[in-house]
Amino acid sequence: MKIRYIVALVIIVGFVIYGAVSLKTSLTPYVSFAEAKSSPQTVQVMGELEKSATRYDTTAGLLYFTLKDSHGEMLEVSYKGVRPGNFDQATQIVAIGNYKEKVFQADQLLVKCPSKYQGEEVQTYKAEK
Amino acid sequence: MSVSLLGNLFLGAALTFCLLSLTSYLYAWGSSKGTLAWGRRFYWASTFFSVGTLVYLFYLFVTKHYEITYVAEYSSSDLPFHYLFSSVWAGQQGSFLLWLGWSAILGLFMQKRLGEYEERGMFFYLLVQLFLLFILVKRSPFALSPTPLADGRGLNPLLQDYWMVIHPPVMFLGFAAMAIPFALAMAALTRREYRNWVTTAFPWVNFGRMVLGTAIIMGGFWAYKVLGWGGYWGWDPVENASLMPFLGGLALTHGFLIQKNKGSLPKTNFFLAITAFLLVVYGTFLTRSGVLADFSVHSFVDLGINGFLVLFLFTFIIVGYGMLLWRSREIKGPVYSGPIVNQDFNVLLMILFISLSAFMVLLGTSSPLITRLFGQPSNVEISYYVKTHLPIGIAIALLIGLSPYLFWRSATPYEKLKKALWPALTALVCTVLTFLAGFRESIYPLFHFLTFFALFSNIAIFFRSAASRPVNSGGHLSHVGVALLLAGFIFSSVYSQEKRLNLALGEKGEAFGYTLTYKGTEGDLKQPENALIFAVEKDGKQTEARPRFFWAEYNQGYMRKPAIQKGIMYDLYIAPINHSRATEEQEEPGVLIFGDSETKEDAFGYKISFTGFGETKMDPDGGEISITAILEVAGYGAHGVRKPTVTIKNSGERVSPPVELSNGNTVALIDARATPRQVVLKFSGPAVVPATATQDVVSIEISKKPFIIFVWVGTILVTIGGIISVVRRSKELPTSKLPIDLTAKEKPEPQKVLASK
Repeated sequence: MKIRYIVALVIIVGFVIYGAVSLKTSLTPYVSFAEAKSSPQTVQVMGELEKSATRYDTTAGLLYFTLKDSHGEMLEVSYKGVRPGNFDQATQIVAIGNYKEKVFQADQLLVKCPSKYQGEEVQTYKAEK
Repeated sequence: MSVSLLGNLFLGAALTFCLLSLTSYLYAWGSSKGTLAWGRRFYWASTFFSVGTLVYLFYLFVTKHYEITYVAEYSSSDLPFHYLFSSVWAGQQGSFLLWLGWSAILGLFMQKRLGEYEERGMFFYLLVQLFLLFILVKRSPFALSPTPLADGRGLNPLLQDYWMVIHPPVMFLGFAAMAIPFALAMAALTRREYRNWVTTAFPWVNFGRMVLGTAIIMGGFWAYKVLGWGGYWGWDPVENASLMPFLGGLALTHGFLIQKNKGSLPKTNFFLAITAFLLVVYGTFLTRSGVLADFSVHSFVDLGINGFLVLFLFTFIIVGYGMLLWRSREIKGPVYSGPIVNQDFNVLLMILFISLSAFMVLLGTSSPLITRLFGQPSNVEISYYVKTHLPIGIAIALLIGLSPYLFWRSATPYEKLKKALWPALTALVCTVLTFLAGFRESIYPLFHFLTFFALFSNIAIFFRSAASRPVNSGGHLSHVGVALLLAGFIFSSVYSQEKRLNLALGEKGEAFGYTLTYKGTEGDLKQPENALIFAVEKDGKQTEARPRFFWAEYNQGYMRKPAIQKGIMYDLYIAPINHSRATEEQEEPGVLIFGDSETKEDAFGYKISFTGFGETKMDPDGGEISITAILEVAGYGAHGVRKPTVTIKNSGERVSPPVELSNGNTVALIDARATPRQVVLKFSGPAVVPATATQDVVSIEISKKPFIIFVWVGTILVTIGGIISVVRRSKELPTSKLPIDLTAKEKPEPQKVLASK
């Protein structure tokens, strides 16, 4: 038999292992702010925007803002790029990135807004490299 | 009679006739064949009302019946007529209705072409319509608005595009079509007849996957043209939800090929037919139940139909896989024999890799659900899909490239090599040329070579086959298209280059040999479809680019539609990122950043100097830090030193009590940094007025997308190839007329030695 079965089986097993490993390394778990601060990997954090703490560093092109989670914990996030158009209306912001140099550096933001008419709407923003 | 009532009556009538047709067909399974004719009659009536409901909903949009919530939510009186089509399927209910309408219409065509499978096939097929009708009756698109509205709320400007008029209908036609192979598989399993159904289902599988494939790329083209993030594919759950059934259908096409030629793989084909359809249902569940709301750009709001969707999914999983398991011992096909490198094994590997691709997409898209079982739900990064699809893409390019040479059974290995020589040499030349042109990212040159080889070898066999028997050339043409698609995918994504430019009015910037000059805006930022105007110059050739940047009241955000200069070698993609006026409108007023010892002469009317930090207090137990900035303040009735303080708590929380300046104006320290020494101050009070725009500066991203045209051309070729294959397989269909001679014995399927799709 069945060389061809063996070939097919090897391909399947190989790929499933490869897929599982790739999946595991590419997962960006949702974590608490405390976990985000200690985690070396890319993670997602979610929180409400603390409006008074937002500022924009024009020279570096960096947006700094603070998220507040449901326990009242705070996390400062930096994002390289322009301020998303619907930032101030955001009910919730998901930041994907990692914690470096005492700030959570976001590669991507998901800004969830109360779209006037459709309940909620999420828009994605990618940071500059 | 109110329009709402009439619409619901249409839906009710469709549901009634659907149930009647279903019951009649079920009765026709047994001995009472007389009910078959009734099944057909009821089906016609059900179709009339299903399509009628859709047409009636469109009519309500045209006649502006804003008392209907759905009409008011997705249109307004100033919306151009042609976008009313997009309005119909902009929401959940309308798109379910579109799916139902297509399913009903396809059923009319299919009914006549089912032969002995009609009563059982139609029964299973109608189950899908039954579920769609249940959902629509539960969440009727004809519900009345609680508060009467004079005008509708308009359509999302992103959907106001002609691609959104045609893309969803094509997509839902594909979803509707994928139910046909499923229904036929179920009919065959209940009849314990595991062979002939392939002939009956083949044209529909070709049709379904061809339509889905075209719809997917149409959606990609819309994203490329409208969304302005620079790509056409983002591995978003909604995109993946359409990709998975497409891949299932594609695997099934290849499986049918083997079963028709050799009789092998009967079980695999049942599995694939059932799975391809279940992936449609699963994708619907994922994208419409709101389970992925935190992970998708296209988040659907939960309409309270989750229970139905879960029931829909589990019913079909249990019915489909249950039936297959129950019958699996009986299903047997001839076992393979022959050399390992042959056409069939090549096709088999193709099925394997397509299925692996579908599985990887399934795994990635489901990752938030899978990880939820173990704790915090997590999504995967896009890199996961790229990583897993690189080896799959290489394998598929190789298999497609080899397929023409394995196709000639009679030829000797020497003849085959001779035939492969020219395509291989041409591919090598192309690979070297692209390598020299700078396309040499890690192992990609191998991928380039295999893709070029697949392209040229299939072009060669396509012409040969088209000259002798055009109707058999569909598969080869599709393979030419796939090779082009792969080339387009690789070159336009791996070798895409981006550059950001910030340009003031009249300022020149340079990117990829182009000189761009910002000439101002067309109108006001609040004006729909407002454009930024750029003069683009290259080698003395002047053109103009007008990317759109405007505030959309509907989305409460800025729209950024790119300007694309299309070319054969590459597209130049100019996407607006921001406009200074837009930023300043949103910047929180009153925040100023002071550098070390900096003095601002006019900080909201005050002259303020940041002279240094005061005493830093640390609370060793709580980990709190209090920082004080020393400011010298003059003017506007104020004089002297102010010392605003910020306390940073252990939790990261900042407390910044405001300090009085004068006349009700205050200053607060919201942040302080040591290196470089900097403080962020927030001023409040009557002196702080929102800053007005002073300068007209735009920020744009320019990208160069090599050979992206291959994606569009490849799609067109795959679609034409698919149409040829549909025509070919339709000619092999058995015909049936009412009344069917039900006593006739099944005729054995004539074995045809046809190897391509």
